[in-house]
Amino acid sequence: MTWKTLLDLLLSDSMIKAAVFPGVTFVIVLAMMTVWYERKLLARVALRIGPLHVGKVAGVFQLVGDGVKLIAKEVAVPGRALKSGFVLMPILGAFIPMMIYPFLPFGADWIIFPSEIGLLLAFAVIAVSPIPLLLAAWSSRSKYPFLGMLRLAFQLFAYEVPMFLALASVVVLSGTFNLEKIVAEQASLPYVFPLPLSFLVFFISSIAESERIPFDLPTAEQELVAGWTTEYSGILYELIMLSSYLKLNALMILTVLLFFGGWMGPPIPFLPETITAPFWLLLKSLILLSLVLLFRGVYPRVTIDRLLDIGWRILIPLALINLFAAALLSAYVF
Amino acid sequence: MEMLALSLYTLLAFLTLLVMLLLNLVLAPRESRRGKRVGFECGQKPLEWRWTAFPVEYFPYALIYIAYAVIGVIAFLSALTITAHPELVERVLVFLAALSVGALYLGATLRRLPQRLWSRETR
Repeated sequence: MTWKTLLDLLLSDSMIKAAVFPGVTFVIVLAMMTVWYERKLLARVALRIGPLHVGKVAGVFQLVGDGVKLIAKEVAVPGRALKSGFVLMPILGAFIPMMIYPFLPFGADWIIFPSEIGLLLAFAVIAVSPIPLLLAAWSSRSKYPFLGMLRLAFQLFAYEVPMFLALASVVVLSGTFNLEKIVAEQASLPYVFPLPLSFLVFFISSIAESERIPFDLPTAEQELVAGWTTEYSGILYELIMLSSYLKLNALMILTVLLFFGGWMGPPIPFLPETITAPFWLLLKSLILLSLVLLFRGVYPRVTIDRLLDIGWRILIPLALINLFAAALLSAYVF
Repeated sequence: MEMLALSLYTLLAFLTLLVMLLLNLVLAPRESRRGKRVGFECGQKPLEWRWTAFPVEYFPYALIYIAYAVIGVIAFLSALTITAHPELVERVLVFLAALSVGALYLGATLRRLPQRLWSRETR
């Protein structure tokens, strides 16, 4: 391999997509900015100012500072913990949610791995992502992580089924698993109008899947110290946080792709479609994200019996009814 | 082309995490003290871990999960049937209607899911 081939590889379309946008750099910066945005927004809800001093404007570099601080901290492994699992599982836990992004299109051509079964691939990764977290909690071999892990398992099992059923209704209506085609099908009417229940079920399940308030029982600070993350510190804790925000962002982008017409939006003058498409997609997901973050400022936490009740007794029947409605619509209307 | 982009992405994602871990190895102090290796309990020296109670109250949900996981897969397959064989849509509709009515009936009649397998009421 000569220098020229290496240079060609570095400047190739694939490399730019994989490394810059919508690749690794974008994904990590998006996760960091989400944390900053959350802190700023929640501060405003509570009539505070939030991050202010790091960085010239509104503390935008606060998260860089926090990241570097956590990297420079010592990792304390509890004596009783299963060391290999305790160290490896957070790494895997951050890596798996990163693998959702290659299957998400950010525009007609902005996708790392275009595939006919993109939705199925993305969902497969989402379905696998909690397993390392459960194992991480298990390897801590401590009391609070154990209780948090049980709650995490119950919660994720309860909300994965309705999420899956809500996806099925979108597939029935569009007739494809290809996310780009699903977005193209929504050119005239976003699916949130024919499938409102499905959107509701998917949205609530994604909040529960990413452990946000009001469904943050596994890490309930006031009851379980920090739930299943109690024993984690330093870089391993940072990876767990990264994993949770990566998953939240991916789920919000997926919601926009499935129900809000993805990157469809009015054209902006003097800007090509390759720039406006990701802009509209990210703007829509930012609006949804703000809603999810506001829940944290507004709602109290639900109890575990209530949480399981909502999942099994309300969301699943709703998702099934909506699947029936989607089949009816696809047979006789669309 | 796509495969190359996906492999590059996977590699870079892995490398990013690896670099973070390596930086931690270089930057972080390492002072082992016994106190640091103690698990968290409440600030005091923790009690010995012997046995723990598994909350059996939630066991019914595991049973429901097994039932619904199968139903979920079947419902998803029926969705695939509609996209692959549009002429079979009536049969699938009947099936989905039966599933929805059953789920609705359960949701409406069970005011709360049973919290215990065996309780005073069911004795």
